[in-house]
Amino acid sequence: MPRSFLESRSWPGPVSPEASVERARDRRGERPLVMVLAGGMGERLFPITADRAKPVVPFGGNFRIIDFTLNNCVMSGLRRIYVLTQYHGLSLNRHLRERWSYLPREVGEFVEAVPSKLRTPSGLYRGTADAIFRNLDIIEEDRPEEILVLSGDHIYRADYDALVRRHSESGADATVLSGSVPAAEATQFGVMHFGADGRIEEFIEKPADPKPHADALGRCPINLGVYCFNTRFLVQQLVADAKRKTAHDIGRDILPAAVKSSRVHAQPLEEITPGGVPYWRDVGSIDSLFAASMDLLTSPPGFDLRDPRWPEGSRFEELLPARVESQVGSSGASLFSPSAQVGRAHLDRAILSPRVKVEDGAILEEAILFEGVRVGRDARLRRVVVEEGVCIPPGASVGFGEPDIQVRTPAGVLVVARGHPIAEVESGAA
Amino acid sequence: MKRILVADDEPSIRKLYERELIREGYEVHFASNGQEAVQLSARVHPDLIVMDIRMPGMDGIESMRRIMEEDNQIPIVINTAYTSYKDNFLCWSADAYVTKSSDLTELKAAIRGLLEGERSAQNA
Repeated sequence: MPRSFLESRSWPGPVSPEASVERARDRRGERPLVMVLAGGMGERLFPITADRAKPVVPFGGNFRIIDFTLNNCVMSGLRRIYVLTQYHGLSLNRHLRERWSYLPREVGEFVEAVPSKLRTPSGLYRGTADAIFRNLDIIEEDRPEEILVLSGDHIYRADYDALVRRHSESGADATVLSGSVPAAEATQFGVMHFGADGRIEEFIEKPADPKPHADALGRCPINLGVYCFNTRFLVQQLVADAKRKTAHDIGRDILPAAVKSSRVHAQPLEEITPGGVPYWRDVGSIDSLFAASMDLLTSPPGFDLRDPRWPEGSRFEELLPARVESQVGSSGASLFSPSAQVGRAHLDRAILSPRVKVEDGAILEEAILFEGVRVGRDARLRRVVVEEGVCIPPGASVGFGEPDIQVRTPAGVLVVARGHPIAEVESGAA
Repeated sequence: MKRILVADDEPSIRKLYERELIREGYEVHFASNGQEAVQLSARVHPDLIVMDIRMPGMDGIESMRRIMEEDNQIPIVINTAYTSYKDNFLCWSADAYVTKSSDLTELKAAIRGLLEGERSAQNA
């Protein structure tokens, strides 16, 4: 493989005096640039992702999955954010415009969608590293000292400013946000192995037997897909990777190669979780999305939608759905988004998105209703996700002992999408 | 015979390079802008590309990006009169960066190094 001139010469190379002056005058690069990878196909969330990008799958009634990552950015003071879109980019673009376009571009703050269609001939990135590589012109235009690379499909709360600070203080080339899970669950994640000095020595992607990597408590450190890179280091790695025959993936290709010759550190999530208790969930499958949604409804909530960093009366607070503890005989709460209407119905752990209407006599148990859903009189739903605009006819019953018309997920969740045998789509529904 | 594609908008440069590179034993093809370089690269499949940056129409940086989309293994030497591009992240995909000079010793050494030394190491 031809070596890059970067490797064969001393670096940095000479820069013309006029370029230096221009750069000194320039205020670019003062704060890290954020690149959010939002191009996943969301296959395991199908049919929820049939017509929408995975990052805009509704979560918590009035939010979308990507809102949690973007909220972390804004609350951490990192407000120069590019969102790299790919599948169903239009739905994501629309959401960013409606909810996140309030950042003032004139003072250099923005959330901007970058569609892959404009970046590659095929319109598809080959992997996460390729996605960043294809957008090097954005990085060159900004020339930040550090770049934060985030995923747009996880639910968690983190102080990225603290992450960048720790990264900078440690002198690392890259810092990876780490969590920990019981060894038995680590087979689904990228597991990290640390050296005596705390540096990451090895990445093991989805190990068949994670036990050798577990700590005394039987837990394994895992890669949470949040990275802080020194920009020059990242570009060098991307350029080298682009010339290799790899999957062009940051977690699978770039970092495992980088730990051999560079300083890659881990930053435990628990140390930079605002408000204390760390929480991180990959909501990439229907079951994990459903489980994380139910975490919102326990008392107290496993994950509180209210971010302790929000100033009182902030625009974010206004988006919060109302939380109502369940009535006698139930064990959790329900969430009601703005303009939801509920008759004399029984709700036990239900999440109602905006414009949902539930009529008298309906029974909802562990139910997630997306925007504009109508549940008819005396209808009964248990352990379901109901897709946007779907009408459940009066008296219909799903999950109460009758044979299922369609296959449930391994955890027993049923998605009532448009076209489901019991669903009716109301004319004019969103 | 190794095939080299030179992309440069200056006729005098092309003439100089033609003479010197043919003398070195290479088959040489020329493009006068980035777009032509992309098309010619797809047609003649060069073993190496010498790429100017500032050209009318598509510049050398965009041309390099498009060529790499088709063949990410092809060695590219950036050959420009300006040193400032050396710190441009978009140029870091190149395998060598040689500032233009009427003396082609450094350019020829870079080409030779990439074609013979490192290409053979890759195939080893």
